[in-house]
Amino acid sequence: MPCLETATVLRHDCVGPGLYEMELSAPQIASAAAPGQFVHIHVRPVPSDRPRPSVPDQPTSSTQRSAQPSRRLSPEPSPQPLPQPLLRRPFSVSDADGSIGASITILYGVRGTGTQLLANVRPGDHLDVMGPLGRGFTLPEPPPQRRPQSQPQSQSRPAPEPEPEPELQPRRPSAAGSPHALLVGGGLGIAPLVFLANTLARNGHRVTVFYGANTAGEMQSALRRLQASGAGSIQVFTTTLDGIAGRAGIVTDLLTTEPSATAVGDVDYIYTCGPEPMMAAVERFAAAHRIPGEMSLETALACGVGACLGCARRLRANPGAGPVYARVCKDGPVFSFGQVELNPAPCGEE
Amino acid sequence: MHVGCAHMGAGADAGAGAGAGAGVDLRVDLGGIELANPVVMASGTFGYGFEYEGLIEPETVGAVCVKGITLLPRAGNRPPRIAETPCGLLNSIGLENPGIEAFVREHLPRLRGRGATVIANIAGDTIEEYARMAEMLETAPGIAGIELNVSCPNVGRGGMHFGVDPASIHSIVRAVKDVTSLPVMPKLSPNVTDIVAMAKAAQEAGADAISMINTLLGMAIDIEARRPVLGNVFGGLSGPAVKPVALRMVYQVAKAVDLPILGGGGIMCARDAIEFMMAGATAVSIGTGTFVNPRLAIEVIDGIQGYLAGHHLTDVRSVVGAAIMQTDSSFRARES
Repeated sequence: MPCLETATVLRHDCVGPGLYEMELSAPQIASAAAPGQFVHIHVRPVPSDRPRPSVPDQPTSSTQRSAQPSRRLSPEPSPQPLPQPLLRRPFSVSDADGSIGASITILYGVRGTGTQLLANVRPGDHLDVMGPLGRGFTLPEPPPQRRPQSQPQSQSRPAPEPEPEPELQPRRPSAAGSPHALLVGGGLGIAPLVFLANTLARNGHRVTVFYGANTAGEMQSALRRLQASGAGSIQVFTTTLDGIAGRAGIVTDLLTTEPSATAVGDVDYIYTCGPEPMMAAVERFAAAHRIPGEMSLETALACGVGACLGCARRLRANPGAGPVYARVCKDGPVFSFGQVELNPAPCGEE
Repeated sequence: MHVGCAHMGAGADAGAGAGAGAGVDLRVDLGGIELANPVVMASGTFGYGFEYEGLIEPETVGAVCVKGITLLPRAGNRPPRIAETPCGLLNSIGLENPGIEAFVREHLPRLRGRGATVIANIAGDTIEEYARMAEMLETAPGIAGIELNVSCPNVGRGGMHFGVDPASIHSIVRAVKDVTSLPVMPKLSPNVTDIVAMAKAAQEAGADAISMINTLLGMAIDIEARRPVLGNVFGGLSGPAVKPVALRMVYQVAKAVDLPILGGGGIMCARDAIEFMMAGATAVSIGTGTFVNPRLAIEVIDGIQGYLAGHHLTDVRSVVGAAIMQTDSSFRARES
């Protein structure tokens, strides 16, 4: 169940041109977040003199609420800043640690008014954060021999909401014993995949990450956090458009040019996040090789909880049937391969 | 207790209301729909009551106007369906909903189980469809009233096409009143030259209350793609950008029509809500503001309570129409 938290900005680093990594202290959200879920952030800091209380654990009606010392009614209404931008902004949780730092990390690029304002936020500022939201990635069962390994996430996490999605089934037993997941990320699409890679590695999976960045600078923060997990079973291959770091080209090139690295015959699951044409290519590759997988979509959101139906994406329906839509914020943002009609061209955001 | 829009919600004050407002009566009667407090969740912004579970619960607000329901399920409009504009939000959802049978079967029992006050929002392609749905709701336990959506700007048939014609509004209200004993409240469109004429038609047809306003028709253009942002080209504008227009319309209708009004449009704080009540609204609806601050409705309830206590008022109904009374002595506050 989502909650509202007044999160303290612990760290806010510029990690490339217009690219930022922000770590927020948000214990409730951090302990509940799963890879692929997102947070909905009000980009203007909460005034420090008026910290916003978290929602009470038990719902109380306004009349039932216990009386608190009444405050002096301010005779003059408070000043009214322009409610601009109006809506919250959604960000994938790029890492969460509910057991140690009780923090979440987001990775974002400045694209419009909302992210521009967020970029001005400083460590120590407070942000109104709602989450965790949406349906995350389906985590395959950990291999039996690794199951006893600690899973810090699961200790304090409340019972997950019922999810109708079938569990990912490996198409066949892996040759090498541990299930092997291939993660393909493009640009900022790497954000949710970092959290996923670290979680899978902790659960005893072999993880290969194909990561395509626009520039070398963009790549650093994600790589650092992938390597910092210490799990040791994450293998990373990179491309950049400028060729300065990793192979020159686009990330989907790796699907065909790194057959040894992919060991495609050995991949049990594929997860992808990035520009839709890239995800469409990954989806085609997975279909050709009969590998199950999931993708994380990005779209403009209003409510973030499935109430407004503003973030609808068309599902691939049966021929002859009318359009059927799914809510990216609630039914997604993670969808199985083959579920959603992808846009042929990158869609505008914000 | 702050009532102003200092931040996205006077969050620091949530919880202070019960103390500050002890002894204040927040109950209102919206044309036979009895509300424990005057704050209502606007249709289309609160789903079927449980989407915000954990953040705000349906039984804690005055009433929930559920997402608009049609006789048969609807897929809704082609995306993109929303576009943010300065201080506002354009939407073109297109009445996506599972149909009235699924609503009654799947959503209504849960709301009823929580003791929520439920107002069903229905939209028809024809007058007969409105009447048919009203009949179905008549026998469904747990409905406090019916909001007639005669103002959706985002559908090809019905919707706003009815809401811009007094004769159509009259026919729909009459047809629905003929088949139901539930309170009936048409939701008016602001996309008219004279909204008072629409309200008068509703009153003459026997409406129990007026809900206003629906969204203002608008659009946005993506100058890089050189095309409208919304898949359906036009959409309805909501949010604080529309508040002055909505407030003016509530004031006009309250002066001209002797029906209680559920007023709203861009309410972002208790102060906004009190403005609507002083303009003549018996209750207020919170819509887009919930997207910004899910706890807004609760903060508005607390803020109204605090305002009343701070002004030594014991009954929320004493502020209804207060601003009208100052300019027109013939107006009487409507108290049940």
